[in-house]
Amino acid sequence: MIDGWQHRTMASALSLAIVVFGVVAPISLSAEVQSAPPITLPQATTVIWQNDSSHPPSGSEVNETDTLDLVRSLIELSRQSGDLRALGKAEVLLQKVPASDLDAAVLSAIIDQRKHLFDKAAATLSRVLAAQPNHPQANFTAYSLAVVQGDYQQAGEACLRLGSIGYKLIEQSCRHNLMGLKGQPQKAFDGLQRVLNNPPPHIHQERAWTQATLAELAAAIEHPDTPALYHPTLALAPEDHYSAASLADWYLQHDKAQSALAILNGRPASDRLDILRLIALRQAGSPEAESLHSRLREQFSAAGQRDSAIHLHEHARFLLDLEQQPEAALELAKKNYEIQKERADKRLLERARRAVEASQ
Amino acid sequence: MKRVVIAILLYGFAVNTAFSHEASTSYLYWHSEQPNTLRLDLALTDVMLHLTPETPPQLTWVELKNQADAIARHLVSDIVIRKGQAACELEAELSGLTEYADESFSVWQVHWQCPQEAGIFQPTTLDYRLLFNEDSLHRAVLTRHAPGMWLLPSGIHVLKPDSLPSTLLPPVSQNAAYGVLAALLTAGVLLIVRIRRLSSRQRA
Repeated sequence: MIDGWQHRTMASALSLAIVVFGVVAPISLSAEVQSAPPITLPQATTVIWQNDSSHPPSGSEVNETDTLDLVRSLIELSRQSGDLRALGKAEVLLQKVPASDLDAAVLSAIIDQRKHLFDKAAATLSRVLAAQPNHPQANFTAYSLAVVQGDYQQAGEACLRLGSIGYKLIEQSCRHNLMGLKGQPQKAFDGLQRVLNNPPPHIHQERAWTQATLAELAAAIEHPDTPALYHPTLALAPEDHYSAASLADWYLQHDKAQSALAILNGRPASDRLDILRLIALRQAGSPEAESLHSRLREQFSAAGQRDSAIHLHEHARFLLDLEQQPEAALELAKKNYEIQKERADKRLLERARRAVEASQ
Repeated sequence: MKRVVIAILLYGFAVNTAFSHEASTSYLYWHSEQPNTLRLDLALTDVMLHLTPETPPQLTWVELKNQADAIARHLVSDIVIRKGQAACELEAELSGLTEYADESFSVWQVHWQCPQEAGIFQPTTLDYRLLFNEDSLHRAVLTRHAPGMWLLPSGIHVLKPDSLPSTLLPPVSQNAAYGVLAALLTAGVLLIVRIRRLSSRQRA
C-alpha cells in the first residue's frame, strides 16, 4: 500500500528525474559538439581538385621485392614532403610481406619511428639485430632511435657497429654527435671539423650527413659561421628539409627573416616549415602572415581531434611562439619530451619553462 | 650496393622532420533528428587516390558528379549500419563540397533503411571501415549530435581500424530501463530523507 505522503514523494521524484535527466543533462552535453561546415555547389566546369601528391601507382599484382621497393619510395616521399598519406599507404603495403622478412621488419620499424612509436620500433630492431647484427639500415635506425630516446649508450653501440661494417665517416659523425649531446659540443665540433678535413673513404650522402651534423653542432655552440656550414649540406642534399629548417631557425633567432624566407622558399608545407615561415613573415612585417596563421590554427585544431602524438613538438612551438600561450605550450613540450629527447626538443622545453616563469 | 643502403640510411636521420597535417581524415555527422542519415565529408585527395580507377592530374565538379555513382558504391560497401544484428541497406549521394583547413572535401549524404523485423528495441550501430585497407593512418571523426538523449549524449569519437562499432541510436528499451532506474533511485533517496524527518519528529 502506498499512502498519501509516499505517493507525493514518488510523484515529486519522478518529476525531479524528468527534469534532471530529460532537460538539464542534454543541454549541458549537447553544447560540446560542433556543427558541420557549410556545403557549396560549384559550377560544372570549376576545377575542384589538383593532384599535388606524387604517390607511385600501387598495382595489386606485385611481388615481394617490388612491394618493398614501393614501400621504400613511399617512405622517401613521406620523408621529403611530410605526406602522412604516403606513410599510411606504405604501412598497408608492408602488411602484405611476411613478418619474417628482415628487410620488411626494418622498414616497419622505420614507419613506427616516423609515427613516434619508438618503443615498438626499438623492439622490432632488436629482433632484426639479434638475427643479423651487421644489418646496416637496422643499425642506423637503431642509432637514430636511441638518440631520440636519449639512450646514448645504445646509440654508441650502434654507431660502433656501423663503423665496423665500413661506414667509417658515419661512425665519426655519430660519435661526435653523441659527444656533443653528452655535454661537450665545442670539443665535438672541433673534432668533427678535423675529421672532415681529412675524411675516410666515403660517398657523397655520407659527406652530406656528416656535414649536417657539423652544422648542427655549430648551431649548438652559437658558432658565427653556422650558416656557412649548413650551405654545403644543402648543396649536397637539396631536399634535406630538416637541415633547411634548422638553418631557417638559426636565421630567425638572429633576426634575419629574409634569409630564413629565402631558405624556406619552394619547400613543402609541412607543419615545422610553415611555423618557421609564419615566424619569418611576422618578423618581416608581411601581411601574408595573418592568413597562414589562421590556416595553421585550423590545422592544429583538426589534428588535435585525431589520436596522434606526432605534432606535439610543432604544436607546442606554435602555442609558445605564435599564440603566446606559454602554459599550454609547456604542457605539450613536456609531453613531447617524454617521447623524444633531441636537441630541439630540449631547447623547446627550456624555452617554454622560461616563458612560463617570465609570465608569472 | 653501398649507395643503395646509404640512401635508405638517411630515412633514419632527422626523426624530428615534421609532417604536414594532411593525414587522411574523414568527418561524419549524425543528428538524432534525422536518425537514418549520416553526412560523410571525404577529402577529394582520398577519393581520387583510392576510390577511382585512375588518379587524374585535375578534376572538375562535373567530372566528380559523373563518377559519383561508382564512388558511392565504394562508400556504402565499407560503411555498415546495423539495427541489432540486421544489416541495413545504404545508399549515398553526392551533395556538394566543403573545406577543412584549406583542403577540399566532397560531401555525401548516406541514407539507410533497416529490415522491418529489427524493432525499436535494438540499437543502431555504425561500423566504419572506409580506407583502412588503403591507408593505415586514415581516421574518421564522428560527431554525434543527440540533444535530449541523456543515455548516449552528444560527443565526438575518433574511429580507427581497431575501433568497435559505434552506437548511433541506443535501444528504446535501454533508455526506458535507465529512466525508470533513475526515477526509482531518486524516489528512494527522497523516501529515506522523509523517513529520517519523521523519525526526528517522533523523537522530538
